[in-house]
Amino acid sequence: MSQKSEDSRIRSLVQYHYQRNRHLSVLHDPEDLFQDAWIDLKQTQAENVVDVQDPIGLDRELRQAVGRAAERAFGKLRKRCQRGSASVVPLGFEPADCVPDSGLVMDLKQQIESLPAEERLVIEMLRSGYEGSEIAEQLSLSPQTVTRRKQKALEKLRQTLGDQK
Amino acid sequence: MNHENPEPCLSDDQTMCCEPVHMDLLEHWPETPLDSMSAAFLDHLCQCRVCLRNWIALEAAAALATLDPVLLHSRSHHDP
Repeated sequence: MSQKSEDSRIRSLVQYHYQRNRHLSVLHDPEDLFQDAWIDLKQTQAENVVDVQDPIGLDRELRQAVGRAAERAFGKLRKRCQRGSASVVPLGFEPADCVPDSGLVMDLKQQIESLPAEERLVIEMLRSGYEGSEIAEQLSLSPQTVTRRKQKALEKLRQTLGDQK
Repeated sequence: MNHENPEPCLSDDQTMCCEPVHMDLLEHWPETPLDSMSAAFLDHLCQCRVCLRNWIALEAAAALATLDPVLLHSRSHHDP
């Protein structure tokens, strides 16, 4: 792919992220959105069709997901350290030091997939940028019910994370 | 965070210092982006590889989890 067409794709992705995350625009500067778009672009380029029955494909998919999550987290923490005042705690690790155990990621994945549909829906909508009040309105629920569903889902994930201690 | 900044740990052991952060992580995930979390939380992540691993693991697992078509239908049905 030429540099020009790659730049164009990144611009399109940045535009997409702006549209999708307009409600977060107060919290995100263009550089953050550009970084997210760049990571998504890299992921798209590396993405292959993955057969869930194929352990090699699944392992590749897992490594890509972990790499993308790590890159995103480290990018944001590094940027904060570079921008921050002297009081900001410096980042003490390299990404290679913080790769989670694949068993933990798979356990969490399985836990998320096995959540009851109503809890999963709340989690997915929160991940998509909906606020609790919007979810309540969309699903015709009370805000308390949305909060309760989220808490029930997170309690299960908390137990899975706690099991690794 | 409403609690005091826990003492960061540089080891691989999840100690009591991580407990409030662990709770915070799950209280604000997934709707709060990492850079919008509290300064105390982010300072802790910068020094505690256990909590940073947990964050990365949660994000990766959520990205990997497949969506049930029934759930997708339900979601699109409710989309504006």
